[in-house]
This record gives sequence, C-alpha cells and structure tokens, in this order.
Amino acid sequence: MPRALIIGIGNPLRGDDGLGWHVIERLRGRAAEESADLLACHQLTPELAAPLAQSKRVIFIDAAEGKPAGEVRVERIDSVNGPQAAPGVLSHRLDPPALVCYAKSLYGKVPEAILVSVKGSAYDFSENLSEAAMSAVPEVLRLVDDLLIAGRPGPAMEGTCLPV
Amino acid sequence: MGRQITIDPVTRLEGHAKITLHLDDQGAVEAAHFHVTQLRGFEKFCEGRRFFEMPYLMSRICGICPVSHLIASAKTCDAILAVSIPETAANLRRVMNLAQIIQSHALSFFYLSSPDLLLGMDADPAERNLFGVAAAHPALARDGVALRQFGQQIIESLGGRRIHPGWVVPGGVAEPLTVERRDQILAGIPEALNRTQRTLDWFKRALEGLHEEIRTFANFPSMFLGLVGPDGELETYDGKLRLRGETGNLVQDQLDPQRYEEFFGETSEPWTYMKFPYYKPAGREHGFYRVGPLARLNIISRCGTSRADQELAEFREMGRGTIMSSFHYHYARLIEILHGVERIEELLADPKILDKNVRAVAEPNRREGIGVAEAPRGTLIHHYKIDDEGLITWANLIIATGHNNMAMNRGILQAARHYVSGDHVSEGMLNRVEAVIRTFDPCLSCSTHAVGQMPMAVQLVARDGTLLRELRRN
Repeated sequence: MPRALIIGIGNPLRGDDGLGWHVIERLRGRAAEESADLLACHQLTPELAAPLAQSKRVIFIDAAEGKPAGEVRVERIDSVNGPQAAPGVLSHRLDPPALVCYAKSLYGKVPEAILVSVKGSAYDFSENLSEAAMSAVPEVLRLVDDLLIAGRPGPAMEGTCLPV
Repeated sequence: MGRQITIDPVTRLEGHAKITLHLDDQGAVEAAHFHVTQLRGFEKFCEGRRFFEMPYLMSRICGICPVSHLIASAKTCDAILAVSIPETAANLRRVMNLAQIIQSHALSFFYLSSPDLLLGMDADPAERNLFGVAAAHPALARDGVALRQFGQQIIESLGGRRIHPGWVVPGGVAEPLTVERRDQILAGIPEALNRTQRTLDWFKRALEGLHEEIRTFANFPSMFLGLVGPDGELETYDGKLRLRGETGNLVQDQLDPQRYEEFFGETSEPWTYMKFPYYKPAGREHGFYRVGPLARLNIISRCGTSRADQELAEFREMGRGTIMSSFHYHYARLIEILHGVERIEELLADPKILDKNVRAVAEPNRREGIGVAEAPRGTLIHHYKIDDEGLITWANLIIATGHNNMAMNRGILQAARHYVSGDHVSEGMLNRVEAVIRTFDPCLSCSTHAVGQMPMAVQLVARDGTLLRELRRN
C-alpha cells in the first residue's frame, strides 16, 4: 500500500532555513508518522525521484523568503513534464517542482505534490527558529494532518492558501 | 597583442573554478590555467581540536565524499592510538568506502557527465542536463538514480545517515552490523549488478562515436598513482602505494603510505588555491602523475572480482597496457562501480562480518599519525600531529583532486589548442574544454555547492586589460 512522503528541506544550522527539519522532528510520534514516511534533507537530489514516484502523496515543507514573517502558504505543484517546467535546473540539486517533473519524466507518473512553505526572517548561524517561524509550526502540523487525512487543508487554512 | 579567454565559472563540477586561456598574437592558445578560487582552511582551523573529533570534523569537508575523509581521518587516529583495529571493523569500513565510491561515481557519470555523452557536446545547454537525459534515455537515467541510491542506502544503513555519517570512529566502527541490515544490502546486489552491466554495455558502444574526445581529452603520457593490495589487486581502503610510469614500468611498488613525505612534495602557484603535488624523485617539472579511477585501473594487476576483471581485460585492449586518455576516466568509473558491487557482496557473504568485536580502545600512544585511503577521485592522505593533551597541533591533507592538478592544467591546454581559435568561441567548444576537467570529476571545494547551468562568461581580453569579446551563458 503506497504511503505518503513528507520531505522537510533546509539547513538546520541556518536559523529559519531549518524549519523543514524542525517540522519533521515534531511529526515523529504523531499520527502522521503512521501513514507517511518522514524525511529531512539539506537539498533535494535526483535520486529522491524514485521514492517520490512510489508515494501516494508528497508534501514538501520548506522555508521561504518574503514577508510577512511566519506566513504559511500551500501550493499544489503541477507535474508538467520537461525542462521548461524547471528552468535553471541544477545537476544534483533540485527544487520541488523540478524534482516532481524529473520523477514524472523518469517513471511516467507522480503523486499529488504539495509545497507547504513558511516565510522566515532569520537565516544566520543558529539551530533555533525565529519567533515568527516557530509560531507557524503548530499551523503547519495541523495542515499536514489535514492533508494526510482529507487530502486538502482544513477550513481554518482556506483563506491563506492557494488552491489545492 | 596577446589575449586571454576566461571561462568562469566552470560548470557541473564540485565547487567553483574558472579557466583562462592565454592566446598569442596569432590567436593560438599558448597557455591555460585552471584556477580554484576558494580557500577552505580545514588544516588550520582544526588546530587545537581534540584528535578524536577529527573524523567527524574532516567528514564535513565534503558533501559528496564525506566517507572517504571519515575513513582517512579515522585511520590517522588509529595510527595515533597505535592500534590494529579488528578485522571485521576494517571490512565494515571497506564496505562503506566502496558504497561511497559507487554513489560518487554514479553522480559523476549519470548526473554530471551523461548529458554531454548522450546529448552531444554541441547540444543546447538548456537541454543538455538531467531532464534532457531523462527525456531521451529514461532507462539509463533510471539506472543512474538507482545506482546512486544503492550506494547511499548502504552508507545510511551502516552509518545511520547518507551524508556525514559518524559511525566510523578511531579504533574501528561504533556498532556491529546486524543480520537484518546485511540482508537488506545483499538484496539489492543483483539489480545493482544488472544496472551497471547494462550501462557499461551501452557506454562501450557509445565510445565508437567519441574518438575525437578520446584523442584530445588530456591524452598524454604520465605516471599513475594509487593503493594496491599485496598482490597488486584493486584496493580502496588499505594497502600500499604503487606508482606506474608512462611505459607501464613500476616506478614504486608496495611503498608504505607512512613514507609519503619522502616521495611526494607540494608546490603552489599565485593564481590558484589548489596545490600541485608531485613525485619528488622526478622533480617538479617531470614528477606529475594522475590518480583516481583511470589511474587505479592502470596500476593494478587485477580487480580481484570476476565481472570487473573481465571488463578490465577488455578495457586494456584499448591501449598497450596503460590507457593515457583521461576521457576514459568515465569508462573506469563504470568498471569500479561493478567491482564495488561485487566486492561488497563478497565482504557481506563472510559470516565474520557480523562479529560484535568492532572497536579497539586505547589512549594516544603516538604524537603523530598518517592515514591513507582511496577516495572516489583518488588517493587521499591525512596527516596529524598532537600535543600531550591530545590536541591537534598540525594537520596536512593531500586531497585526491590536488594530485590531478598538474594533469588537469595540461589537459586543458591540450584541448584548448585543439578546439579554441582566437576568433571563434562557441558553446560546444567551451563545453569541451570544461568537459576535459569534468573527466577528472574534480571536487574543488570538497564540499557541496550549487553547480549546473550556472552563468558562464568567456572573455577575450587584451594584455592591457581591454575586453575584446565576451560570450556569456546565463
């Protein structure tokens, strides 16, 4: 039975960039771990295409630049095939849309892919999240639970989300 | 008026670099320099640290080959402890280093170089990438993904994580191997062998269309250096140094790596941070050699595993004993992947691999230690000195890519003279010059950096600094 895959992306030594790792740690031991494989990584590499293609659903958790700090966004990633969908693709580091496209071009199919991002404000050397990013974590955890159970965000999130 | 072409940065390498091509008054290339433009400083900032921290600290040098630094560093600490580590621990380290070589070679061949090999040096850079390969050759791309995954999963299975595992420690390894993990690794062997063999078969056919690259990519006589086992077999974890000359003669054999300073020196140039190691008895000018997959296959008597030895015999049919074209680093990588998979199976098939005694415990018994192993890119040397408190007072690292520095510079000059004409600067030509460097798979920063379709500027500059022409890739 295919499971969901949740990937936290970032550098846990660079403040809010470690948000993805922080969320993955918080998900361990929760209900999400029963239905999803959890993975924290510094960057997305091409070989992640294989487990991604075998998953029921993939959720990327990442920090994002911009304001207001702590804002949570949800975006569906279109699995458009081909390099046009991922300009600037690098050789061994990919962003979520590029990885989804790469998986589709290799395996012919990809699961529904969703990017959950939180706008960060502090990226200096630190193992701690800023107050704004930390305050967004409970929201992200609820959102992940909703996405795993219902396949879409709960009503509380609808006003701040892009269509999913 | 002399002119200069700059390729900056060079793409699809580990780290950042630039190439300058110096033209004479007639527009012919008269000199080429491969500049490494960043300084890491690991040898200095580790001073004052406790020696037993070194393996974990040194593994942070590189995100691609952390295991090689981990192992060379742990071996250096073993020497400081003056212990002989348990045989099982040595074999477990050996398995991890082979897995490291497999995943790193897979990255180099499939991710970094296959776009050039499959789609052509003159293909549009917008398509000459992972996506282009996936679209044109999805089966081969899937094999590449699976082989890198295979190597990384072994590292994760043994060390608890894919990058920067802390399982290799001074005196051995932190935990013995479980039956479950061993069987999990063994289950992946048949598929890994099939994928590697399939790629090798394809690549050997593809060589027919690459004669020009083979002829001109750093194809010149040189010496070759690497570790070998007691019978001259391929050895990547331990062993003695062998240096083979350009005619196939043995210049050094069974040389104890502890004596490296007697035979190998380093010089520097003002235009690059990478040093130039050389074989001292031959002098700075004539003492250059190559290391890495091609060198290893050139120096060994045999691989020591059945399939790899068959491939080695075929590989050697291309030359009279010694293969001189650096283009064949690609070919050698595939044979080494095959050897790695076979050797891992052999090592795991031995019941002693599950032995619980995997670590020797001791206090420092020497004030100095040297550790040598074969990294994916070649021979890696770590050398530390400590004080009475066990704190590092001095460290010297000779990185595999450094050994190849002279050869890379000569290779660029050779390719540039063939492909570059002062008035003609094309994308395909530039990529060929870069591709010469890529055959060596250099790890310039020995750390993970963003590479790929980065902007590349080629400048034609007069001696007085005037910009005559510029070609830029965004």
